[in-house]
Amino acid sequence: MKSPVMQALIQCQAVKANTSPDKYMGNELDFSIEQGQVIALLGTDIENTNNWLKTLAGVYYPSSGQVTFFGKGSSQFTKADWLKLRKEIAYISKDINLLSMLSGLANVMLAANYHKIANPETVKSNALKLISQMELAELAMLLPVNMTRDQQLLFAIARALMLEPKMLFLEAPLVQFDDQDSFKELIFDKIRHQKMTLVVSTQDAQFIQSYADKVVFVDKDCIISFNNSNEFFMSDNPQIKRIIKKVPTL
Amino acid sequence: MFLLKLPMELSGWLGRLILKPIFYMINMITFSLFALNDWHKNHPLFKRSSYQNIVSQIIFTGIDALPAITFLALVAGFLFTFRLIVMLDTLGGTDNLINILVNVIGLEIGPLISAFILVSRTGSAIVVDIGNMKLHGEIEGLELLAININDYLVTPRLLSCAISQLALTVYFTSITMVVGIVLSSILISSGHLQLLSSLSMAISPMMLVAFVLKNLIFGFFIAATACYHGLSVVKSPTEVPQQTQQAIVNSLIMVFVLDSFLGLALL
Repeated sequence: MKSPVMQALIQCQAVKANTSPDKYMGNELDFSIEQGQVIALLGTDIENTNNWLKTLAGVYYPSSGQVTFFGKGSSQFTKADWLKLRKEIAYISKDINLLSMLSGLANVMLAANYHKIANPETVKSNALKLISQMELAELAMLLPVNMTRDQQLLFAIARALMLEPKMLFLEAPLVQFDDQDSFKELIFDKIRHQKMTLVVSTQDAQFIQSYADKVVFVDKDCIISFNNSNEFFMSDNPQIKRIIKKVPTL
Repeated sequence: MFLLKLPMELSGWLGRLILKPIFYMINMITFSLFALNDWHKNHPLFKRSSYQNIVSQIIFTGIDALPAITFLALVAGFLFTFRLIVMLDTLGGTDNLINILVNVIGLEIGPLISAFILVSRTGSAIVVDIGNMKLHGEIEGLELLAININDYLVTPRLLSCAISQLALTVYFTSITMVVGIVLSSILISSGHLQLLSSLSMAISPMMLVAFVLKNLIFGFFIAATACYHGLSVVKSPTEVPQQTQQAIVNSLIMVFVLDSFLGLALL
């Protein structure tokens, strides 16, 4: 059962992502993301898809059009607004980006302590609670270099969740995991339960079918948004059909 | 045609040669001011928590450097202080001995050798550290968490290096002076031991201000150069050693240039 439509957290009006012209020459995107939705973004070119994801998250400026975040157009944003936005919209890139000199626990506490979300003792106890919920307690004192990619990704998600964001953007998270089912269970089910809005770039059709409320497909010469996953799977677009055919899970 | 173009090309080359270091200095000062401004916005000046990050940097920059600086100070005590005393003793110019020691060892050699250690040890470490962080996307990761890089990474290094440079120079100069004077009193004349008591009298308030300012400026710009070059790494691992080399060379040039200007100002 899909989440009920609430208020638009992000509204795109005639948006074109900040990609090079040889990567994207298509139409503009008119699209909205509401509270509690899970959005899947997929495309033929991963870099192009991630540029669109970054544009939707406010990491990149759009090359044209306007993205409205929480009711305020990005063109009216001040420096303070952008900083506030980065706390409200967590973005985990595919490179993960944990600080290599800090342990897993210190990484998780870092942003919360920097922004003084609570006093350091409370931050530590919250971080430990979150880490144990994510089944990472044994790894808390390890440096990122001693972790696998999927463990690093989980720590990066925990670090972002410590700021209590309204939305979570994940760049190709399923690629990092050998055991994708446990990750889906651990992260997506929990996030869905918390009604957090989730935007994911993925090529995993099974994920799209099980979780996505909306799907956005990006190709070199077009961007198409679908209001539900069924619309996506029923699409006549030859590129989409080709992508669906390639996926072994369907 | 070539002969006609030659003066133009020569003047262009000369212009670029002169402008390059000027623009570099402007970049460095602007970079440092922005970093300080970002730090100041988030940290009240008289709040203890504002200095936690700086203290941990001082431990690395200052305290961890003590063994190396102690050894160098002992050697410099023999190489500079002792030999200076011997030379002046031979020439018969012992009247101004203490003033010469304070000016040469205290105001010149001490700050310069401490600055060399700071450049080679801390400066290079900062470039490699920040450069690798930039390369691995760790800085981008911090920015995505709304963490201000100037506030979190740059300013603590600038301030801690400035404080460490001052502290290390005081430590280095003290050991160098004491070792040289004690050696000369053992090997030449026990009367030289009196120099120790007259040291404090020979330091004028103006000298003290110059000493403190010089060291704070040295430390600050050594760290600023290192952070600037560390953040200049874009995407290739080969850039890290290149930027480290540039930072070390530019820091040393800057230390000498600043020393000359400060020397002129003190005349």
